[in-house]
Amino acid sequence: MKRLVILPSALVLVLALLAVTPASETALTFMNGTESYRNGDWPAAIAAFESLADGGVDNGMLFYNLGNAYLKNEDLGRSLLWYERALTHMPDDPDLRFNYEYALTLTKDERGEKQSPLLRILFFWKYQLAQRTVRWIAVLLNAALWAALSVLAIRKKRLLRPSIVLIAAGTILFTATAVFNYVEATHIRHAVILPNQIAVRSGFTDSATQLFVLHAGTKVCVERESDTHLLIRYTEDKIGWVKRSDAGII
Amino acid sequence: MVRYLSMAMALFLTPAAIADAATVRAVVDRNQATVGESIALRLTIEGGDGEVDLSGIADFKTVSRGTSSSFQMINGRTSRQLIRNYVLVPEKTGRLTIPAIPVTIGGKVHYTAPIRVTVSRAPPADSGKRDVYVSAEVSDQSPWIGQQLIYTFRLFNAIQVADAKFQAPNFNGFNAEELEDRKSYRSVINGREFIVTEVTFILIPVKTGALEIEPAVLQVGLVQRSRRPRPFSGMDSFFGSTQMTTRNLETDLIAVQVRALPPAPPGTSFAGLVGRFEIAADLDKTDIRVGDSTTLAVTISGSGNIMDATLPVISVPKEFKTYADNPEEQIQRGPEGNAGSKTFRMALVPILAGQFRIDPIALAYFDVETGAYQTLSTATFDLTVSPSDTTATDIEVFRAAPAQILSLKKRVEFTGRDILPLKTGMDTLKPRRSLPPLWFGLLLAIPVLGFMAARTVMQIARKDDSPSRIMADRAKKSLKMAAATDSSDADFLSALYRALVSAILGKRDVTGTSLTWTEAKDHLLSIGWDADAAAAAARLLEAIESFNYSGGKLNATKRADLLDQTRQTVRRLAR
Repeated sequence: MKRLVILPSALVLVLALLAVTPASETALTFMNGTESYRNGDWPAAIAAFESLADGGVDNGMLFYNLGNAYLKNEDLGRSLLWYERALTHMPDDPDLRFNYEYALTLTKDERGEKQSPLLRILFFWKYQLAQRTVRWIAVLLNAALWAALSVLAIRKKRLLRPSIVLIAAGTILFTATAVFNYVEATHIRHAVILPNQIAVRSGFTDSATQLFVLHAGTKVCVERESDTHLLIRYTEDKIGWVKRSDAGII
Repeated sequence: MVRYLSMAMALFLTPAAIADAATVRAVVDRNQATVGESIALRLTIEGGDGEVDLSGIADFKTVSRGTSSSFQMINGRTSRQLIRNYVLVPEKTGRLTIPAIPVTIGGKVHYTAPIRVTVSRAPPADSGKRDVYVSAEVSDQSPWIGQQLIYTFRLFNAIQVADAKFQAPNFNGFNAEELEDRKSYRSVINGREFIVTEVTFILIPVKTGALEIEPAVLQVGLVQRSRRPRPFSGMDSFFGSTQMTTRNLETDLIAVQVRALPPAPPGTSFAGLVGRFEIAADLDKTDIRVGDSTTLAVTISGSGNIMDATLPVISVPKEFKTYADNPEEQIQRGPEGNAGSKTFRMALVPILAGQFRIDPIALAYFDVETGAYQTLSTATFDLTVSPSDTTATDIEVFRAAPAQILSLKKRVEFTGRDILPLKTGMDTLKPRRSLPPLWFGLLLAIPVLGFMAARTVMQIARKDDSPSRIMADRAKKSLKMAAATDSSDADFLSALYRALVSAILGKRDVTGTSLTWTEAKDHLLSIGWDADAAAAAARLLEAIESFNYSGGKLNATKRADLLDQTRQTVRRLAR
């Protein structure tokens, strides 16, 4: 009887230890990274943060830290790549916005595809809210809409109708935005130029004609991918191939 | 009939008769004139319309002055006069002839008589013998390219003139600008007083070489009192009144030789100004603090193409930021040409403390009087800049115009750049997994499915609420009550009645609580019962009602019989 009690207890303890150990290592790595950053050891901070990101921590704040570490390490391309990745998680974070804008001032190339300020005003929720937030708002509004419709079907209260119209409008708006975000994430891919300067060529080989030159931190649109190269579009009229290692996909 | 034909013939032949009697004559208002004076020619045609051919007049320039007509009746006969008026301007001196002018009337050519006119040369302009004349001159007949000239046209008139029409030359090779104010004054020439009217143009030659300024033309009406009767002065001559004659007055052609500018001496930065100029500079403050502004005003003045003046090169120390204001022009256009000043103001803002010097500002222009380039310079300015109270090193200042108070508000600029710190909270390690599309779709679908399920259940529930179902339940319930052994006869009979009525009405899918036996029979027939069965059920209902209203006592057998019949009927209806 005693053996029967001890065996499950030991199992629970082992499972608990298994569960706790990686978390502690993650926290330790993170703390090492912040300590290295504080001490000005940017490569060590980058290594720590990147190991966390590679380990599956998908968090905008971690990406922000990586952007900071790369910027301090004077690697503008990778800094902007991580800032861009962080922006997909927390576009409304003021610290991130500030550092991102500052990093943009260090780039050499003009922005290729300029976004209309009118679009940012008209579809403010898309640009101000994280994609995750948009999805959850869509889910909640959808639930509220059908609940309200159910109540209306049972109680037949006319007073509910204006509220239902409003909820329906919000649901359509946020669901459409969420769907657009999914489509955009799947079909429209962006990348950031990583080296200080790269030649965009008409083909894969180094002997292919150099079409134009881009510099670190420039954001481009990825049109096509091969095993070794990316076909990027800087502006409507400037398209060419770059090595995969020269551009980080956001 | 013969009389009418005679009249028609007479009417038809009258024009021919008139044409045969047609006459033409030409007269002039004078047969002595000077070059430039006009002569009025009057051509009178009597007896029909005529076509006048003036191509034979070679020594005069002819200008038509219109046509008039009149009718005359003398001794019962009417005649029509057509009068054509012309102005003839003699083109040379001597004894000239206005030849016979052919006039075609009704296909027949008539000629006027030739007229002799003596045209003499006009007396010299300064002789005082001419009543009216014009002249034109330029201020310099051998100017430099870019030099401004004054072209002056003058009208001298000793007699009254009217309806003057001035036609300026084209001024090819010049930029010409007419002065708005036309000057008029009196002048005595050779003892005779003239009214002089001046029209002035400022000319700037734009190409070199020999240029010609075409004659200016003035057409003017001369108002003169008649000294002797004129051939067609009418009643005016009787009263000794005035008459107006038109004259075309032309100036002489002016030749101008425009010279090219010589090459500028080496090291001279020619400012493009041609004329006579001065330069002056002024600095409003020489002791300032870092961030304060002082205004440097550079004024170029003189006569010539001052409007083309640009800000000369100013060697401002690099420790100063400069903000140029729009130049201020004060340029007058007068008989002397364009003259005035152009002032350039510049706000200087030091960003560092120390002693600084602004070197003399040089202006190189071409002096038209000496025919050489001249270089002028301003004085040197020494500035003392003391440290500012603020630590800002990058100071923005906007346009500093004179008498304009600078805004005390300054744009906030970064004094240093860095990024914001790391995010060190443990939230940083929480993976925030995004919602996969499949889950998103499912979460959207769940409320929809829930709504549809609820709606289905409600529809089912609504079916249970149908009248047939309600009445069937009621019938069943009433049968149960009737079957209870402890119920009174009244309750038993009421329960049977209710069960039967509910069953019948439920079959018709309506609700209700009472039926007569005839109504019950009709209902049952309507749902397809045969007549015997319907009559039996109706009799059962009638029996139940009879027992109920009679108040009689029911024995057990009768109760069982009634209950059994009712149950069978209800069951049959429930099928």
